Amino acid sequence: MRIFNFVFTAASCQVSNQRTYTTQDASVLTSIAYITEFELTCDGKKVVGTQLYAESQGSILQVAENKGNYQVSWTEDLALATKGDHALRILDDEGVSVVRKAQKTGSSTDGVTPLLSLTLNHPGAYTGPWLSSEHLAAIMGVVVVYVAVTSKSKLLA
Amino acid sequence: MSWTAGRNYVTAVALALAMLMMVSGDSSGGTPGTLNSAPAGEEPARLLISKQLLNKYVVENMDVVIKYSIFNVGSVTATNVLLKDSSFGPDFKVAGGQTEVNLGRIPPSANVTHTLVVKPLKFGYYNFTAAQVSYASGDESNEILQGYSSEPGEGYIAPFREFDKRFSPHLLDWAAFAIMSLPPLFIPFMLWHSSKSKYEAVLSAKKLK
Amino acid sequence: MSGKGKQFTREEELLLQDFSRNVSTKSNALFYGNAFIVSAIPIWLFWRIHLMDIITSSPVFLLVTCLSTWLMAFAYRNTKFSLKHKVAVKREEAVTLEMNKRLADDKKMSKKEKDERILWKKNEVADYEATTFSIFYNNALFLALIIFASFYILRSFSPAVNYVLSVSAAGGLLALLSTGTQ
Repeated sequence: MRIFNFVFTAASCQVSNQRTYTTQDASVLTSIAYITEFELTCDGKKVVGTQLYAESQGSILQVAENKGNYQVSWTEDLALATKGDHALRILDDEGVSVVRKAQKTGSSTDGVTPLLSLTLNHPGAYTGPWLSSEHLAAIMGVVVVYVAVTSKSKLLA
Repeated sequence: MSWTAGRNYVTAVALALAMLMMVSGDSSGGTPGTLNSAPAGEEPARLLISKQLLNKYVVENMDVVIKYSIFNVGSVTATNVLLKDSSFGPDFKVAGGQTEVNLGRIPPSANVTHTLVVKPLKFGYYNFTAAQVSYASGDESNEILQGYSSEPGEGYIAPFREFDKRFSPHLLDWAAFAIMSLPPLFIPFMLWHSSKSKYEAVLSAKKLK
Repeated sequence: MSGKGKQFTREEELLLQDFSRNVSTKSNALFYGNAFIVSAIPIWLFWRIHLMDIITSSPVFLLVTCLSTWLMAFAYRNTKFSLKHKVAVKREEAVTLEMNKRLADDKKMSKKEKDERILWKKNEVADYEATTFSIFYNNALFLALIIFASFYILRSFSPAVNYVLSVSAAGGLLALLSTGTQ
């Protein structure tokens, strides 16, 4: 899935051309992939070559870059994968060291102002039918046998 | 008994000597493979990359999730880490993520991951080869180091039809089965039931009188 | 004397028919026809869902279907026989009432003939109900047994082995069950 987004954020950084892709058919997979790519403009200038980090629920991810195109990605086991909006705080070197220090001392990281905030939405993945057709057939079989056996016992009573 | 004890003693001494030699070799900088840019006693940055396919099956036109895990086993930060995977040629379509990225700096003993999702456009056997990585050790060195990721190896990309036949819920087929089973079950039941209720009605009518 | 003898024999005949396990040709045709249809239905399941190739498996399909047809017809016959009396006993009163009502206007018929007709009708109703119920009962159990055997118990076996075992076991089990008392 690709979403084109314009997000106006704090400081003077803004994101453009955000594309998100998450695997939505998990019938052949062992893990879900969460990927979001974007371009960054700060103070009117396009950001290229700067090391960025993404913080999501306490874990820090390294942001990959290819000529101005940044990518935040991670994978999650099928059983643990969460759907919906995932908030990502994009930080630079300074920001990330503050967050890491705060994590070490155990204090809250909410005060840290990120360069910008992104949202990665995962609509959920298909892992197979809810009730397999064989189970349905088996249930119907049980019902039919029940009717047959009770009618017979009533007949023979 | 004494013979094995003697052997163990000899092995222990040999090991100790070997370790001593290794250590002394490093500090002199003469051991082949080490770099001159690293300060004495420190191991330069070295990246180990694992390339994994997080799939149960690889099927034509369905997602293949590739996870690259990069680990710095050296004691110096790896800088300007460039990961490039050119093994997905025209037979694959990139669905999400980038095949060529700059991951920046990787501190010692740190782990960084990168994810890529591709869709195979053809089915058949395919050799999944390694990705390349280039980096420098520390900020001062100009020497570019190269590394290769692990190779997932040869895999079979199943045609979509084959996968669908095996794993789809076959709802239409079951529906057809249900329709087929209805006459042999329903008709005898209804015939019996109508006769039964007819005669039971006769009896109950009599009882009412 | 001859008239009475004839009626006796007729009555005897009907009673013999009542207690006999022998079925008429019409009944036989009905049983074998139904047995064949219900034995052929699992072929669809094995072809489409267990993915057995229909052309290469056709000899197996044919053989097992014939075996199952014979087993099911056997089961139908025995189940019908074991039910017929119970049904006859249950329907006796109702059939008599209905027939009496129907033949009440016919003054020309003798009582003996009326009784004969009632006996015949009782036999016919018992036969009809026992036959239809036997077919329904055995078909229901057969199809359910095959679903359970092929998709749960024998799931890990190869489709051909799965087919042979589930269909013959289902047919065999029902044939066996039908010979039991009650």
